[in-house]
Amino acid sequence: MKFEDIESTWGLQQPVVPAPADLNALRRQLTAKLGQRRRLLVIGIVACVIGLVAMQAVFIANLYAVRQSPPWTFAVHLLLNQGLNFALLFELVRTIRRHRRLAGGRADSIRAVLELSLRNVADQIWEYRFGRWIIPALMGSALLSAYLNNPVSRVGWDAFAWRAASIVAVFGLIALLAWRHYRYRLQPEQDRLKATLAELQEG
Amino acid sequence: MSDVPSRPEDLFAEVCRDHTGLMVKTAHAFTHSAADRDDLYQEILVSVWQALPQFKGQAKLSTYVYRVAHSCALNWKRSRQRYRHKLDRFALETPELTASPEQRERVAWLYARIHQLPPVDRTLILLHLDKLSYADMAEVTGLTESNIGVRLHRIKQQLTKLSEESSHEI
Repeated sequence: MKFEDIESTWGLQQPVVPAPADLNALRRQLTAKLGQRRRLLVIGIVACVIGLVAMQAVFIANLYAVRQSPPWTFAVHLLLNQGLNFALLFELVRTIRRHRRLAGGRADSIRAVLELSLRNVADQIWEYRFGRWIIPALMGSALLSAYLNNPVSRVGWDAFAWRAASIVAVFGLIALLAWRHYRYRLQPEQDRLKATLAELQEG
Repeated sequence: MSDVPSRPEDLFAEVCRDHTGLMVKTAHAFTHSAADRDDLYQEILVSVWQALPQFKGQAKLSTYVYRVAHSCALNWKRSRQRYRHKLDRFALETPELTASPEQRERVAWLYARIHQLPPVDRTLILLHLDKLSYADMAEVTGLTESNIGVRLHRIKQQLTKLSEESSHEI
């Protein structure tokens, strides 16, 4: 077989493939599909903002109880709370920036688009690695808060142990889901993009 | 390039009229099943629709669509796509590339050989079979023209060999 045979087989395809009959309907569907995706992003952003406001509200609501405890615990509480707020805000800004970057580079060359995708995946992986420190800190903050608001001397060890176990279970589940996303989505995606880019870079 | 339609709607109509084939061929070259093909074709349409407002006429519209379609295909993730498909499914089947069942069979056989190539080689051979110039291929891929020439020589040999092996099997 010669390459000309391959070319002639390729030529069996219709020179002009019929376009979808109703272009207006297709445009409406595509616009709706994009709108749906944008809504998902907006929902994520709104959830982040609600989280930020709620954390401040919970902190202020607990301020009286926290102030009853020794000054060092108050300081730790304040530090953790503001640290987590900063992390949430940081994540929010990075997510928006990532989406803007992708939207802007959609029509660049294949190499540029792949490099951009790899950069975005690397960014997400960095965030998940950052999460390895944030999740334990968040859990520590929640445990400390549970202890300060309901001291063992008042509620007893059993009640405190239940609260602590629930907090550990919730954060453990979050950590597990984050790890699964990192391990089964982000890492293979990064490997795939690296391999494709390497293929583009080899001579 | 001065007569470029300015409205994305007009550009989209032009893309659908003249370049549906290239989007469908790209979807065929990067997927193995009809369901995946429909998914990727839809995804390419979405990407093109999203990218058209940025088209300022610096390149040929066909080159622009090739760039978007192949970038989309190389970035396409099957599993996520399935999830997304459930989320925002709309009924759009990939149009047929051939007129008769015999032709379809022969073309499917060729796509099966193309699937055996690495993803970037698939892109290059598709652009070559669609008779794009080296300059246009360089614009689409970001590779240099000389590099494209060297690669295409190798890919053609590889594809011919794969086709021969497959013919012997038959």
